[in-house]
Amino acid sequence: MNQEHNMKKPVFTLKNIDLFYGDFQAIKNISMNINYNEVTAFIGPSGCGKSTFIRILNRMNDLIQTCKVSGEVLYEDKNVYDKNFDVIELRSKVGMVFQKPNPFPMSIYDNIAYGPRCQGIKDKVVLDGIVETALKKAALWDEVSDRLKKSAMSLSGGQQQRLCIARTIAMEPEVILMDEPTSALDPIATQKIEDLIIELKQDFTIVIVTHNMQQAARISDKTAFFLLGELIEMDDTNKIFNHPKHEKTEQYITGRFG
Amino acid sequence: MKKQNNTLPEGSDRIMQVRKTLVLSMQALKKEVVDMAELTLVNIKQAFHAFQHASQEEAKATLKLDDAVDAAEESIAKHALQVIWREQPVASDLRLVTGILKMITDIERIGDHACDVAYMTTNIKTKPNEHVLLLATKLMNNLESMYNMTIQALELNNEALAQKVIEEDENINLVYKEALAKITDMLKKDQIEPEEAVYSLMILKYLEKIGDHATNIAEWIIFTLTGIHKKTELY
Repeated sequence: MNQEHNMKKPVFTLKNIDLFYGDFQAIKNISMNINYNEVTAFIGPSGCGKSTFIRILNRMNDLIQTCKVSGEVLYEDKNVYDKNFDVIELRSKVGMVFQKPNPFPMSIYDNIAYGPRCQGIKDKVVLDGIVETALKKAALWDEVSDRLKKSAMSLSGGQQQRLCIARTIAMEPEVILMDEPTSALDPIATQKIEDLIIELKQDFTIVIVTHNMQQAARISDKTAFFLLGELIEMDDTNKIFNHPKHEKTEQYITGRFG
Repeated sequence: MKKQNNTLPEGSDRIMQVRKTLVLSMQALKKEVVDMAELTLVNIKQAFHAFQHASQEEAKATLKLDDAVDAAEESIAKHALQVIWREQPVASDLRLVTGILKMITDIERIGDHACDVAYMTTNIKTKPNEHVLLLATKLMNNLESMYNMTIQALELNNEALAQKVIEEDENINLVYKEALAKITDMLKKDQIEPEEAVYSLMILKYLEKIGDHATNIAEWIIFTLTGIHKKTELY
């Protein structure tokens, strides 16, 4: 990917997005751009729609029967909600890491190799290379290189989460979505994930949902503040945490309501 | 729950004050700064009163008041640091805490200059020359009004008032220049003792410097409200 060329260009362009769960409107007319090689943080009180919104990006909400999405979600200029759009392809390009680490009950190696194998890669040398690269990019290689055949379940919570990130990286995505990836981790494991996110944005675009506003301030380039299904404000993180334009943003980040 | 504040988001019944400690700490911190500034204003007035009446006793008493100003500066700095490490403030709260840390340096210097005026007064044995006194009183009146405005701007988060303080400094400078010219002229004409001229000029200079510090405070008040210090966005 030509990083220079893609800098500040949107990988996702979302226009007038509405989302309903049955009669309940969870997302109200949201438009935004998500730029290449930036970390975009979604903040807001519980139930404001940020997790729902992040799941629009890789069509995870498709799995909910009552869920209806309208508007335009352009991933690299292609509408991901177009009938002919390949959702499998989308999810290989837009990976996701969840709140709770969810390694597969198999070895560390097989966790990483699982995706590439599903894509038809069988050559052991190639798979070895993918596993090593992914674990190195996820800053886990040094800790597990001598026990790749051990169960992933034997890893600590923080290591499991980095393994999940490595598993996502192995699919060579363009975008990594992270839904509260550190909320189940201790401060040291959280710090490692945050350092990792900053490293990863050299190669990937990252969208993160977080309840930890200091985390958003530390690691993100852009911050979007959601409230009651609306996007109240999205701007450079620097501006959001120093001088937000909107009074509601100010009140939320300064703890005047929550 | 009934909404307590019409600026809070509509449609939410989950709204509540969740960071009471931060809100209360910020209010307390600001009150401490206002109190410190008011304390220095009292000191300036007392020092000037001592000068007006050539009261050595009052001047000496004023010198002792500075300890309270220094103690207030340290106490505020300590509380501001506590707010930073405990509450990790952002946005307007962060601007206010950092602004306060800058303001108290200027307020402390104002306290020092009040002492300087008092100290110089202890060197003047007779009542000041009436021409000098007239101009010094004019300067002091302008200064008192300007510093009162500064304190009010801080208390009320009033950007326009802070801006007025900055503009007012020009008048202080003009009166100072006028006094300087007058004393120089009187010296040339032997209408004033050189010693009194020097001490009087220094007192006038300290008052003029207090105006500069009030201007600095006003600039930091504007920063706390807008994020802009002078013409620079500090973020």
